[in-house]
Parts: sequence; C-alpha cells; structure tokens
Amino acid sequence: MDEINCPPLHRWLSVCRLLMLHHPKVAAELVAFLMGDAPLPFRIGWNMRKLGEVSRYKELFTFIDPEGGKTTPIPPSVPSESIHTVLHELPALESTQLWQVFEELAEHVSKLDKAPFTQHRVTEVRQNIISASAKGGVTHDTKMMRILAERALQPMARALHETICGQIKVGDFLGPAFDTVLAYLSFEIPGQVACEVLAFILSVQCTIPDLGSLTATPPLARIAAIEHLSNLTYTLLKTRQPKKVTPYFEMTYLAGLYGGAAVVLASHATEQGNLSRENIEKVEKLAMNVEEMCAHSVHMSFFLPALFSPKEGLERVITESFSLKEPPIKTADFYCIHPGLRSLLERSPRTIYLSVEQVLKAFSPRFLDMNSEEVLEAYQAYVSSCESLDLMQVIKSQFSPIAPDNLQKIRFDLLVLATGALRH
Amino acid sequence: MIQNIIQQSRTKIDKVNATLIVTSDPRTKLFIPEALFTGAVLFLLNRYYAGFLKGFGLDEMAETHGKWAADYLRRLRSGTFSEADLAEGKGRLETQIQLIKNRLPTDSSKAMAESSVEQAMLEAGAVPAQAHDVAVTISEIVETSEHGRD
Repeated sequence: MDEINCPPLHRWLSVCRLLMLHHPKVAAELVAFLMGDAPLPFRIGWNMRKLGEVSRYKELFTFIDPEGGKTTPIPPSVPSESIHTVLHELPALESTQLWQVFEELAEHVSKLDKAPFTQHRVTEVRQNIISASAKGGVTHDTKMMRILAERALQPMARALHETICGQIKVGDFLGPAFDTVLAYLSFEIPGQVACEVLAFILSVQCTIPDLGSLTATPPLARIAAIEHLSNLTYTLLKTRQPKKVTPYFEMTYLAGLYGGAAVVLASHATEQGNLSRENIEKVEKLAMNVEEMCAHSVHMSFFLPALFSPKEGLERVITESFSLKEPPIKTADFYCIHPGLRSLLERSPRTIYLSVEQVLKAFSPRFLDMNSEEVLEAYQAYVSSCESLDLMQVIKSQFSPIAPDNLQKIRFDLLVLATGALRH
Repeated sequence: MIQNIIQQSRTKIDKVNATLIVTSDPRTKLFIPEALFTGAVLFLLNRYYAGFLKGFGLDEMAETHGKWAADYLRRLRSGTFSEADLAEGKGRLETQIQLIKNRLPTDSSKAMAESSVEQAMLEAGAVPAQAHDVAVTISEIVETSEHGRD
C-alpha cells in the first residue's frame, strides 16, 4: 500500500524523513524559519559560521546580497569587524513546532496500529529521533560515529578472518554498508551520522586486509566511490518522478544520504593528499555538484507534506508564488512536490463558451475548485497509476552504495586472501 | 525566436547545472543571479551551435567560436559578468543560428553539437547522465524551435 492512501501515515513519515535527513534540531530550525517563527540568522553582507572539527570546513563565510551571494570557506578580504558572527544555537527539539507536529501524528499513527507501522514501531522511531537530537546538530556526534564505525568493523574483520580460513564471506564483509543504509532508511540513525559512517565503511572496505585505516584507501577506489554515489544521487532524483508517493520520498531521502556520503568522501580525498591536482579538482567539483543537487532537490522535499495536508500545501504554494511574483509551478518545484500534486496546479481545461466566472476559473489552478477530500482523492487517483518500487529490495542491487569497480576489487581481494596468496 | 530558445533553455536547464558552469572554485557556492543564469544558458547554447558547425565540417568557424566560448566561460566565472557580456552572448548565438540556418541538420552534426555540450558539462563537474541529459534537452529545444526546422 502506498502511504498516500493513509494521509496521517504519509504526514508522519514525511516528518520522520525531515527530522532524520540530516539532524532533528537542524530540521526543526529550518521549519521554524520557513513558518516565519524564527529569523534568518544571517545579515546583509558577510557572515561567519563556526562548524565542528569533523566538518569539511571549520568555518564558512556567507555573503548575502539582494543581487546574489555566496558561501565559501575562504576568509574574505574585508575588515574582520565587518563580518557578522552567526551564533548558531539550536533549540531543544521538544520546544519546537515540528516536534509538536510529530507528537500529534505519532499518536494518530499509533492508534491506527497498522503493520509495519505498529504502535511499537512508532515508539521505537520516536525514541531514535530523541536520541539523535541529543548530540550533534551544528557540530557532529563524533562519539556515535565512532561507536557505529567500530560496530561495522567487527563483522567485516570476522568475515576477513573466516575468508583467510578458506570460507569466502563476501556477503558478510559487505553487510555493514547495507546495514548502515537500511538503518538510515528506517530512521535508526540521522543522516549527519549515517553519511560519515557510510563513507568510512566504503573507504575501509577497499583496504583488504588492513581494515580500519582511512589513509590506506587506494585513491582510485575512493574516486570510484565518490563517482558512484554522485551518479546514484542524480539517478535517484531523476527516476523518482514517475514513482508513487512512498518511493518518490524514499528515493529523495536516500539521495540525501548518498549525496552527503559523496561529500564526506570528497573531503577525505582532499585531506589525504595522495591525489593528483587534476583528481582533487574532479572530486571537489563532484562534491559541489551533489551538494547543489541535494540543496535544490532534496532538502525542501519533505517540508510541505510534513506540515500540511495536500490542499493546504497547494494553497501555500499559491500564496508564496503571489508574494514572490513567480509562477506557482516555480514555487512548487522549489518544494519538489510530487508530480501528482503538481498536476493539480495546472489550469482547468477551457471550453468555448465561458462566463466571466468560468474565464476566471479557466485560468486558475484546478485544485481551487476542490475541497480537501477532493484534492486528496485526485492526488490518490493520479498516484494509483504511478510506478511502484520497493527501495529496500534494490539497496543491494540497483541502488547499492558500493561502486561496481570497488565491488569487483573487494571480491578479487577476498578471493586472493582465501587462496592464501596475501599471507606470504 | 532566439528569445524563445533562451527562455525554454532557462526553464529546462535548472540552477544546479547553471551553477556548475559559472563556478570557478568548487569550494565556493554561488547563489546565482538571473543574469549569470542566463549567461550560463547562453554559454551552453553557443557550445551546442559550435558543435553543429564542426559537424558540418566548418572546422575553422567552429574553432574560432570555440575560442570565443572559452573566453566567455572565463568571463562568466570571473565575478564581473556584465549586461554587455549578456548582450554579446545573445549576439553570438544569433550569428551562429544564421550561419546554419539553411543547412539541414545531419545525424553527425547533431551528435557533434550534443557532444560539445556534454563535454562542457562534464568538465564543469556533472555526472555523465546529467551531462547527457542537458545535451539532449538543448537538442530538443533547438529541434522544436522554428530555427531548428528551418
């Protein structure tokens, strides 16, 4: 069953995706800003944000100007007193509007108690989100990252050991990479942690038999991983379009993880310093590309379905497009709304003989004539003819995070290890 | 008609692709203003037509135009791109359209044109499928425009 056929579940899942895409508190802050409940922490001119040690850059400088702007790690050549320091303190999750929405929807979904989102599962997800919000946010939860990385290494080391003893354990060796993706998709760990852990696993799995050292990853294997994740990010975002609501949003959510992991790997690649200048430029460009893809096609996707019913979401699109003096479709694309909902923004079909009222209607989006139930029914009807996809089923094949070249290398290295060649 | 091609390209080539084109330092993320966005679109359209010229065997013209496009890209990435640059890009596009106006597109000229755009996108940091999609999008816009059919 597609989630759009159970509106409270669709909204609850959208809130979960929004909260766990990166970090719950960051999502809550974004929502507060978009709802007009919190000011943008930036000012016109240069702004500086301090980021954590694990971040790709320790500081970021943002220039805001009505004509454009930029964000860069390179300190600008202006007097330091003219740079506004952004004090970035995230609010306690429990005090935010997004959390109130989560709690209301969680109660509703709990009462439905429909598998797989049973009362127990809803409670579990709630607990995961609370745990995720306790650490990290502006900076990273390095402790959690270390624990998960060490936990991932254990089965990989065991699989290596068993391979050395003659039993080739490719599946077991690759398992932690898939487990990390699945843990993220099922809201066990937030994107901020999952990106780092996945990048770590994808790096060390190419260092047979010396697991555990990021520096040992062959440069070409790291580049292959970055290219593969960048390709997948693009493919997920492109091929989500004709899909039903559940795969559309799951693919978007997964693109957030793969894009984020590609950026982390690019950061490792430039820090390790064992790449040619040409390759450093290549991975930096790819990282910028996936960051842009995620900024334009992932980050805003969950906002409307999490906060509003389909009709309210469309109304917000219209209101915002008027205030920004842009076509509603452009606003709808900013929020990456599902094509089924987007279709309701199209004009009503015209007839030859029209009254003044009919003329006005003919030039108005279709949904304006509909009540909430009719909008939902039209949305559901559209979605019923869309393509299905069980994302969990293709994580190990079509959308596997492991680059084909690296997979081949891992298989070969394990085979060599099993035959004893590496022991001498 | 040139305005129609530019407008359609602006709608279909999103800001992600335009950002790749206008970015000189990938560590610096730009919030690109409209003029720069149009400039990126003009660069890609000019690359497309330069490929077309090459596909027709007009190598010398294609080379001259290629050099101009490289300089235009440098200006797009310099941070000083102006309205005059925008007008120059449109003028150059107009000239190229006129040059090939009376020639029927062939499979090879179309392939060269698409490959020229694809290469520009790959050099800017696009993934292969993305670069291909941008090239095909431009090709379709040009083909469905009146100039494409002329």
